[in-house]
Amino acid sequence: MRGGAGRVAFWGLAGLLLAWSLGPFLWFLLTSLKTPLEVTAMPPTPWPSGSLDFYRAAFGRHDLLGFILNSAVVAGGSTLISLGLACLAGYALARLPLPGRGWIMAGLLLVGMFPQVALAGPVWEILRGLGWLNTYPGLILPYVTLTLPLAVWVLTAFFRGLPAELEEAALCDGCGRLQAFTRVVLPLAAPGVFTAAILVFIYAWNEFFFALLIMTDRARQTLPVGIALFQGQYTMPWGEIAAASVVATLPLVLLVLLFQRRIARGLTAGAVKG
Amino acid sequence: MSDGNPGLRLEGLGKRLGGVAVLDRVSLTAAPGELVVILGPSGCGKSTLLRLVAGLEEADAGRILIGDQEVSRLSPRERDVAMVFQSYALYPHLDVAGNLGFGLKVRGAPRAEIAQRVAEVAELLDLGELLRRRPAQLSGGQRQRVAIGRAIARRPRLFLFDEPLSNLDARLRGQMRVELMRLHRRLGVTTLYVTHDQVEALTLGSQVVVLARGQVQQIGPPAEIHARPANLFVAGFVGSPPMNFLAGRVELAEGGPGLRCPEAELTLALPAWLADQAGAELVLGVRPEGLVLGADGFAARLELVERVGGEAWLHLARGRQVWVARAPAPPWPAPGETLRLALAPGAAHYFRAGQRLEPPGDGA
Repeated sequence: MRGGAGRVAFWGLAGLLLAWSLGPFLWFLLTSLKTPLEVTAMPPTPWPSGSLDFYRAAFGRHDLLGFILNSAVVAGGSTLISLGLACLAGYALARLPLPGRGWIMAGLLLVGMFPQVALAGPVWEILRGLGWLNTYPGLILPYVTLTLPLAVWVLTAFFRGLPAELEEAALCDGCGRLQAFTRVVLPLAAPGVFTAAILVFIYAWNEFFFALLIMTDRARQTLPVGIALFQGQYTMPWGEIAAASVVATLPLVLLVLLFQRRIARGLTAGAVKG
Repeated sequence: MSDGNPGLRLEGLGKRLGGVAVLDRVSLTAAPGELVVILGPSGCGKSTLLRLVAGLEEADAGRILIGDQEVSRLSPRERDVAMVFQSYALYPHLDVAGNLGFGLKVRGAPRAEIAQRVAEVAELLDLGELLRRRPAQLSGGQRQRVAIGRAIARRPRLFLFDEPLSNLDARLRGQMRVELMRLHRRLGVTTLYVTHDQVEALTLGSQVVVLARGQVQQIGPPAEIHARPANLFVAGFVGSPPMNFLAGRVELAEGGPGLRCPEAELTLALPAWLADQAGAELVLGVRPEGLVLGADGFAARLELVERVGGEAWLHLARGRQVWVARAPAPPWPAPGETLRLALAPGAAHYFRAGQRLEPPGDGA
């Protein structure tokens, strides 16, 4: 039967893809639940004994909670600032009669493609001049700069998709430009705003290179750098790293699962006759 | 809401978009409480005119006055004008009650007042059952009523309607047209109503402004527009089926002036006052209702019978000229027959260089 074969192929491929992307994470999850002996055993033990020792060590011997806090402040701050700016910029680019709008959009795209290595030196110099090395703003500033192009692009596309007549109706109903934006445009663009917010947050949460460069003070380091520097003098503490990585991944997974519905919901249905 | 029920005056409005004049010296007046219809084909600038009055776009020239106040440079908010959009433009994230009360809420009206007005409007437009629904859950006709209700709830100084019925099916359109007339009579708010539908224009408006290529072609009561079109455009645009046009040259014979039309292989007698047009190119217009079938008149071949309910439109040909005439009652003649056509007395309109010619002493 042709349909049956197609179905088997579909699920087979889907399973392969899933195993490919989830495999490493699953292995880390299993590793995090092992004892030190199980981690180094040869041949590897597939099923852990379910020990939580590595988690205790990650929080106890290493300052995992501190890293989480740093990451939350930096990623949260970057997301708020980046989105605040991107909403206004995206709306202006989508709606206002700006000369050279195409060039602005192309310029943004270009900035977004700059290799980080090329920026690292100047950014470090600027931050040192500002005295912002080893501070939260010192990391938030480059993150906002680097994520802004993407956020602006996402939001511009979203705002442009909203019918302009809704804003005009709001203007006629007595709104000012800003009020029309906050009362009508923003609620309708919520799925786009969430999408952009999650993209920015994930970037800032996972970013390693700048974090390593700017945060040399152990007490200010974010999760990726903090975990990477877990290594002791003689050994690589794989178990603790695995446990910390699982902890670091959980917020992202929760965030995406939580907002998935809102992103998917088509809020503009029924606004104007299709 | 300063003076209860102000009128509207537009003085020489002009608007250019991308180097093209969309509106050119448009002037018109709507008396307090009057419903003025702006009628024109698509692209004539009528929607732009509404947007200028609403303050969504700024005019390049001219003035807009609501009552005695000049509003040309004011923001939409300050003008206090309500607009009903062709697409309805309901807020999809708000329910019907939220849509109806939006304008009041934005202007900071107290909650109790908003609730009361929303209830009033819901009652007036029969929306009571739907107050908790979202626009997506409404039918086209219901959305239309919510859009009108949203405009009414705020009690604005002026209503602007941008082809509000064009998205409805024919039956609903007829119902809403009657409902709009009733609402207008009841509320008495000065209204500017844009449409390309001449039936709407001629039934709704106490004044009709015919607009084409950004210029006012004629302003007058519906009957006047229909009976005495000011130029060829209005003559051809208003009336359905459209007026028959016959182009020719005025010639003088012993019996009086006549119009010689090579296309129709015909010379038609003209009234005596057109004698001073001898040698001029004229266009004679006659509505299908103004052609009489009978024993006298000129012969024409019946090509097609277009039946519309109890009456029929006869498509006739003579030479290269095509005529449409009304056949009031069955039995209809059969295609292929030769019929005789004559112009009913007073049914002919005369145009020279596109403009209407009036008999002397009959003051235009």
